[in-house]
Parts: sequence; C-alpha cells; structure tokens
Amino acid sequence: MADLTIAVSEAVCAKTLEVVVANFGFDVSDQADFGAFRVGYDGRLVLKGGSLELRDDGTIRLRELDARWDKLDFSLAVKLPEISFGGGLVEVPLGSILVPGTGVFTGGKTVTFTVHLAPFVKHELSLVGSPLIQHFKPGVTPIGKHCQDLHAALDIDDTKQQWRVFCDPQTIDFDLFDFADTVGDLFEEAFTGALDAALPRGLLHDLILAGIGSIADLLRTLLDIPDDISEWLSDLFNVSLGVFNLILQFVADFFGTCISFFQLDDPYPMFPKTVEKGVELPDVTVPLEHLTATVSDVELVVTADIGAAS
Amino acid sequence: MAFTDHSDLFAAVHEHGINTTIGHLMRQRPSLFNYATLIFTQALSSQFCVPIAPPPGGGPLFTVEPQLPVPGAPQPLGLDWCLQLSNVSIDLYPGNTLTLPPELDPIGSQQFALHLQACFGLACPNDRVVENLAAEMEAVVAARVLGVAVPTADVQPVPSANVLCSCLDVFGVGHFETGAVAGAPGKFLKTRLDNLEIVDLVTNPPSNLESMLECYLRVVLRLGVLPRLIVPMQSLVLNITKMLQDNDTSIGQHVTLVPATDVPNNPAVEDDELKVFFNLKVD
Amino acid sequence: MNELRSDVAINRALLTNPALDSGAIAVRGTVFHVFGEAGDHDVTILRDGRVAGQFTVAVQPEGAVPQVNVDLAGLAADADRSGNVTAHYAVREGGVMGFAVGLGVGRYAVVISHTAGGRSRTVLDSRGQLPAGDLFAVTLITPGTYRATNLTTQARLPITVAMPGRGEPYSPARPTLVRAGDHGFDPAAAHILAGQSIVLLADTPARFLVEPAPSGL
Repeated sequence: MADLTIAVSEAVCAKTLEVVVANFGFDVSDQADFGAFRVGYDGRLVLKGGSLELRDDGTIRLRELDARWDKLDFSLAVKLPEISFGGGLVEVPLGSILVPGTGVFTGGKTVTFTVHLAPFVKHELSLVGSPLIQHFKPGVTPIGKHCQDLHAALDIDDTKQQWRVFCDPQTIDFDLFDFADTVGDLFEEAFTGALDAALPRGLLHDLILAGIGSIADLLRTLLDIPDDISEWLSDLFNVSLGVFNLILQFVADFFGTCISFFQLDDPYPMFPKTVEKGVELPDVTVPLEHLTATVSDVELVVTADIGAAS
Repeated sequence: MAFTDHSDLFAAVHEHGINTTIGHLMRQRPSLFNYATLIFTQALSSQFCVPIAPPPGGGPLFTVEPQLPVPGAPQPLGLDWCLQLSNVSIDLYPGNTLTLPPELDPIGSQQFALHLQACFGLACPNDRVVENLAAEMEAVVAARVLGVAVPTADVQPVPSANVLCSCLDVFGVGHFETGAVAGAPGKFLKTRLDNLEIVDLVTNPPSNLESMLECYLRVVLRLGVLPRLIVPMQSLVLNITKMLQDNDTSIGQHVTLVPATDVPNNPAVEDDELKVFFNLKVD
Repeated sequence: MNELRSDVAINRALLTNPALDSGAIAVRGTVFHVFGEAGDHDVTILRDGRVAGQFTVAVQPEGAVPQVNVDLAGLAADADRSGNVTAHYAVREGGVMGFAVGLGVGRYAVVISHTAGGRSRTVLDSRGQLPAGDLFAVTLITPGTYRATNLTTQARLPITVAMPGRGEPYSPARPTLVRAGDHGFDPAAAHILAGQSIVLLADTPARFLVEPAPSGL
C-alpha cells in the first residue's frame, strides 16, 4: 500500500482546467511570398469554456473548448498589373500597328492592406489525454521560454524540484479554418480602400478604376483564385501557411509538456521553517517517490511513497 | 466505492508514511525531541543518553533548558540534565503493530497508539566537587550571620563530568483533531494525547512514582512537543490545488479548500491510515 | 480599422495636360516611322535639343519583326550611364519603329539617316515634318475639347474627349485612326473616351500639334 494517496474529484479537475484554459494563449505570426502576392498574419488564439470528463478507460477528455482569435490580422500585398492609358492595335493601310500605352505606374505598384479576421472564424477544440507524470528538475528538465513565461504567470516555481501531473493529449480534434462567407466582402472593401488610397484623387483615380472594371474580379485575378475568397483564405491557413498544424503542435505541447494540472514539491515541506527561542529552524521536508496517477470515471488518484530518512 | 464519494478532495497517509515522516522530523529537527542544559553543547556534548546526529540542513541539536535548581542552597546552584525522546512510532487504528500495555489496550476507533523511549540524564557531581561547593555555601552562611553583605549571584552550575542516564519505555494513546489556531488562517491538524503509560516502573512498597513521571511526561508532550507539531490541513494533500488557488482570480472566482462535513469523521483514523476530506469552496 | 500601405508610384507626367507636338515627343505621344528601304539606319535621339543617344536599326528585306517600339526616355537613361545605347534593333523592310516616352518631362526628337553606298540620307527628322506614311499617336486623358492641327497645311481636327459613363464598357486600348492629307483630316472630327488614343496618319508630310482647344472654339 502506498504511503500517500490523494484523490481529486472530477469537479476539482474541471475547476483546474478553467484556470489552465484562462491562461492559454497562442501567439503566431509569419509571412510567405507567393510571387504575385505576399501574405502575412499575426494572431493570438485563446480558449474559453469547455468541459472535462474523467473516463473509465483511464483517460481524461476535454470537450468543446471554444478556440477564438483575440486578434487575427491578415496582410496581403498585391502587385497591381500593368495599367496604361491609350495604346492598342490600329489598322493602317500597311497592316496593324501596336500603339504603346502610357504606363500609369513608374515604379512600385504593390498595394498592401490588412484585414482583421478574428470575428470571422472560430474553432472548437476537444482532446483525449492520459495522465503523464514528470519529475521536474530545475536546470536539467528542458523548458522553453514560452513555458517559462506561462509558469511565471501561473506562479509555478521552476526553481524547485517537483512532481508534475500533465494531461498528455493522445488525440486532438481541432476544427479546420473555415472563414465565414462575409470575408469576401471584407477583402473587396479593403482592396478597394487600398487602391483608393494609393491612387491620386481625381480624374486619374476615376479613370483607372473605370479601366480596372470590377475590383472584386481584379483581386481574384491577381490572387488566381476562383470565386470564393473565404475558401481560398481557409485553404491558405489550413495548408499553405501551415497554421493549422502549428496550432495542433502548440496544443499538444501546452497540455502535454508545458502546463501541468498539478504540481507537488519534492521534497515536500511538511513542517515549515520557524523560529524558536531566537533560533531559526529550517523546513522539515520529506522526499516523495514512486508517484503514480490513475484515472477512473469519478476521480484522479495520485499515490506516492515517502522516502526513508538518510 | 470512490475516495471522493463524499468530498471533492481526499488524502490518506498510511501509518508507515507517518512513521517515515516522524523519522525525517527527528533527523531534521532533533531539538524537538532533545532537551538539555547549555553545558551539553560543550563539556557534556558526548554524554547524551542517546547520541544525536547533526541535522542535515543545520540547526540546533537540542532545545536549551534551564538547570535543575538545588533547593535550599544559600547561593543559587543548578544541576545539568537532559531529557531525550527517541524511537518514536505510531500505530493507527485498528492498531496491529504496537503491543500496548494492558492499561491502554485496545485502542478505540479513530485513535492511534504511540510508543517512544524517554531517557533522562542527570549530570551528577562527584564528592570532591560537592565538598568544594559545600565550603562555599558555608562561607556565605557565615558571612550573613556576621552581617557581611553578600551580593546576589546568578545560578552557579554544579560541574560534573558524569551523566547518569535512565530510559523508560512509554506508550500512549491519542487522536487527531482539526481546528483553528488563533491568529492563523485556515484549519490545522492537531495531535491530542489521551493517555500515557510508563511500562513497569515498580517500587517497593508501591508508590505514585510511576504516576508522577507519567504526569510529567504527559505535560511535556501535551504542552511542549505536540503544539509544535500542528500541521496546516492542506499540507496533507501536499498542496495539490496550489496552482488552482493561486490563480483563481484568472477565472474571476475565489477558491478555497474547506474540511468536508459530510463524513462521519474528519480527520478519520481507520484502516491504518489517517484520512482527511476537503471540499472546494468557490465564491 | 483596416490598415493600408502602398509603394505605388504614379507616372507624374499623367497629372499634367500640355500640348503634344510631333516635333517634340513627350509622354503620351508616339511617333511611328515606316522604314521604306532595307539597310542600316542610324538613329540619333535628341533630348531637349541635345544628343542623348545613338543606335543602329538594321532594316531587312525579310526575317525580322514588322514592328519595334522603343522608349526614348529609357534609352537615353541607359546611354547616360554607359555613353552608348547598347541595344541593336532589326526590323523588316516596310516595318515600323515606334518612338514613345515612358516618363519624365523631357521632350525628344529622332533623326534617322539611311546609310547606303557610302552616302547618308536623312529619312526622318521629327523636329520638322513627318514623311508621308509616318504616324503620330497621342493619348488624351483629361475630358474636354481639343484640337489637332497639321502645322504643314493648317488643317484642324476637333477632338472631343468624354469620361466613360458609369457602367459603360470601357477599354483604354481602343485607338481611333484619323488620316491627314492635303485636304484636311478624315474623319473631320473625332470623339474618344478619356484615356484612349488618337492616331494621326500623315498621308502627306505633316507636323502635328494636339492641344486643348482654346475656349470659344
């Protein structure tokens, strides 16, 4: 029989999940060049809600966490096509002559705009995990900078040796990016605004826009996409930019190696330090050994032995 | 049946774990179990009844106590002594590892049995020392009779190079309680001694000597040792919900652990374990 | 609020509306010369009256392209750096070379000499008249009325430039051809949309000036 048995109910685990979720924040940004256009994104994904279920098969299920973007700024830099006035083919007695047009642009012709996509996409996260025990040793157990920052925010002490109990994801279900249909309108509006701002006001502006024709069609031509901008954008995030995979990896690391649900100091200070008759007496600590964690459908049970005094 | 059928959090410490912890306590805080006069840091440091290992984290070997007065001495005199508690172990209900004396056996439900060895050492002066001191005492008396003022002196130790030791086996029965401590937040686990028995201290003719010593040891334990062993209740769950409680503001709530009331006994001593039950209180 | 940025650089020459003279080629104007004879032709580029570059055009009976368009401002800039125009052009006999100005405020002229049998003969000096068969194209952007004048015959061509209507199909690349001969312009008037070109074909030697019409005309 183990020296120590600690059982934590599903309700306590669920309450702990609330704190963990409240501190989940995934900052991600990158850029990519696709030749005719360049994209960049800068976002922060947070979690809300969800429920926790302990299961008979020894696993922990986190269900229906709302994954929302606090911020998802998407920048698109598009190279405008050659636009010119005049020119064209004219038929003369000796044949056809190509009259050169007068180019509208003398140098750069890249128009950049940023749209705020956060309100237009949402995901749901569910995962099934198993308890994973780590014996954390400061200076030996590797820990990334991002985790260090999270630990500092949660008051998890990385200067002490600890036993840590993680909910290590075995399967993660995360919704693919699926931008709402209204994103297309947003893009068209942003591109039009960008063009409006780039071109000088007045006659040239009006003529150029008359020559371009449909702004929406121009944008789709420049991006080489079919009708649905929302679908194009979703594919970009899911596949080309790899954001979907980055999120999966982050979720796996966050729950599996970064934020443990429970931490036990080892050795544990059973009797705190004190002063008696003017003399300072240090903590009385007991080493914890052979930690195990098992899950049933109602509770998580942690057992440990107390190491012998040397 | 689940551990948390009647509470949100449950912790159980097996008596083996408690005894191992007592071992750590004795090793790391020997001053809780060893009491002596100051001379035992110097001249009598090798004369303890039971040798004391220096604690690994530093700290005193024993708690310094005043000397035993020599009643009637014209100038105050003190004798050096030591009291040491060792071989401490407990046996939780149903009590199957310690053999209790008949006066205490069997332990009742929710009780624990205690065994320890109590050693008393007296630094006994030799005859020459006593003779020398006697001459000094006589001189003080004579001076007073002659009306010569004699300044009041501090307690003068009676030097001795020899400590006489006597050890007794002591058994006790006790129980645990939870309660508040004035001036401190939260609930504490308190150890209560219900009864104590010294094994076979026989005098002829029979006298109250055993009872007197039992009384003395009971008072020492109840007032000297056990109050220094109160433990915050959350230590028994190894503060497993520390992260939750430290960060409750991030979920806009105030989370505390409170002892559960929906159990017959909290703490409970049964099945050779000390068990405690908590509920999460969320405001 | 969405953020917008651009490094779009507009051709500033499009923001003004000066007269366009075939004798001083500027942005929005193009002179086309038809090479009637095979052989090497020396082309001298003049910018604001000074020689800015020279190159050779090989006019070949067959096997070369029928038309080459060059940007005089670009060639002059290249020549400034290296001292020579390094390009070499070949055009088919009867083919056309178009001389346009991409950007800037400079006014250009071209002088083309045909070297054959040790002799050199000027076949085009755009500062004067364009020979018969050559053309002058202008792109008009600002709506309003203009007139094109053949300075050789003093014939005039009224030109109306209108803004494209909303929803009206509009393509800037739809030039309108007008022939200029001894008896004036044919057609006698031209109507184009803003941003489109008028191409004046010299049936007889001509020098063209296209300018906003004075008010009252």
